[in-house]
Amino acid sequence: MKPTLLILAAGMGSRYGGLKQIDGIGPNQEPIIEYSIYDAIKAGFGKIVFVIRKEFDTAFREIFDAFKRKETYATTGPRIAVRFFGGWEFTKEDSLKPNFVDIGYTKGVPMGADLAERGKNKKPNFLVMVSKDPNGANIERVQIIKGWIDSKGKTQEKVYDIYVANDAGQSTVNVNNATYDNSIGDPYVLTFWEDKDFNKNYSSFYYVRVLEIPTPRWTTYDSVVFGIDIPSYVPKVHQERAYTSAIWYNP
Amino acid sequence: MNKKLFVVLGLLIGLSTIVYGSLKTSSIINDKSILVTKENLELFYFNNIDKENPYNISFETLSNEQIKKISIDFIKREVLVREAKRLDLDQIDPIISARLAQLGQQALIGSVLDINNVNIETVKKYFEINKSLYIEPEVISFSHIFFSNYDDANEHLQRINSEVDHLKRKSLIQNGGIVFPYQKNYSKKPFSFIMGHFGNEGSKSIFGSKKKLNEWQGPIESSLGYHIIKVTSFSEKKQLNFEDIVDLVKRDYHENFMRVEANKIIDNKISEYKIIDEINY
Repeated sequence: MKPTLLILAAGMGSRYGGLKQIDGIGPNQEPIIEYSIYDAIKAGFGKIVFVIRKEFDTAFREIFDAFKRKETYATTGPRIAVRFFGGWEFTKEDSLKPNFVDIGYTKGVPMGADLAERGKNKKPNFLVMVSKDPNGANIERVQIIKGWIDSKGKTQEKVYDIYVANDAGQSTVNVNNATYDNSIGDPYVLTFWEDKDFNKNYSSFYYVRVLEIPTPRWTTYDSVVFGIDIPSYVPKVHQERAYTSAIWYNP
Repeated sequence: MNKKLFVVLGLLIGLSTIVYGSLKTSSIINDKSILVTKENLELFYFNNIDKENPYNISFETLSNEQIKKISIDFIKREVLVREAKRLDLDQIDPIISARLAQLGQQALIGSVLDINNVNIETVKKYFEINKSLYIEPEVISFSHIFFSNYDDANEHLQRINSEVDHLKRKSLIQNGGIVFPYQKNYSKKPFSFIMGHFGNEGSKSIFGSKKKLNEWQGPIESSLGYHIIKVTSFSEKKQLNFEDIVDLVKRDYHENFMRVEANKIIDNKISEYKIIDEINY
């Protein structure tokens, strides 16, 4: 039998100013407990018990439930927020309601889950909420990437732009000063999308990709701070992004 | 507490490794001979077990068969180490030299000051000098409703403020706006926390609304959109009392003392060396 690890995690985080165990601190917003669990499993522990305060119960459970549901997404660095729900009964109006999240869970499933059984003559539809990093760059576009296995058994993929800012394709980056501004793109996106190409016989998956407006690459910031020229082969501008786990359809 | 325990344990393991290492019987008789003794194998076993594995057993309880296996590993390691040293590889590997420097520092500094023996008056003086480090920041509690544009936010604010029916007003508050990616209610949060959700300018506007308590006001602009907000409480930043944070200050004092003393000890040791610097700076 593998040993059990007991983690004392009842600290108030008073000097930190919040629950440091579940705040995103890693490069992709991984919380400390994720690192703890990873290390514990690697070290041979079979069970992990967290001792927490009663008042943190809900917050901790939400995090662990999300791990179990695979309701997770990653970013290349910025704190872009994404919510992604799939179902058969969503409407465009659902995306604009204040109880967007409740509707998402009630009428559909979140990222990482399998779509419920298909209703007659239905096509899957999706609700997506994206907000930029509150201290970062605006959003240029939101995409759904669909993958499926066709009738010949071959894997296929298609990228749908489900939201594109009016000024997409433009850039405000000044590489000489390593600056950009948020005069283009949008800070917040709520959208609804239905898969018009849906084929009920094909196993499919759908995930969301979010692209920020162009910003200076980190090497460009460094080159300005240290006054060093960047080699020509190093990109000076890039688009940070977020990508969710997939919602799956099984015929 | 855990952190302290780990530091002390780490220090003990480091020191015991050094002490044990210095007492061990040498495995070298001559360049091409390897002496296998119980002491050598015990040290090798101690140094190479996974210290965090709860199933570790002491060397004394190992079977002869297990000791034989350790002996084979020991001989293999010894041969490879000698071959590496013969090629001067220990001189060029940065990990080896960094680890040796780390062990050297642990051996030099040791336990200069036990945190339990810290004089409380000294700690109090440290607190007086560093008072600015012990200030609780201003914190705010508020609720907000989020909108993507100013007009919708302003219209909703007017509706809430002109609604006299309590239930209808409550419904307007609960069902207004669009979904916000973070929280709807914030309790006793400092500026740094709010900035992570509303951006710098948005946080300034929220903290700027602190004078009107328990009234819906706004709209204010954040980096994500527009908000109408109701501030329910606000506390100015305040100096913490020494008596309330003795343990915290004591720990800070100890950490600071150890850092300063460590540098002094290392500087003293450096002064015992004759440095021949051939670089023309």
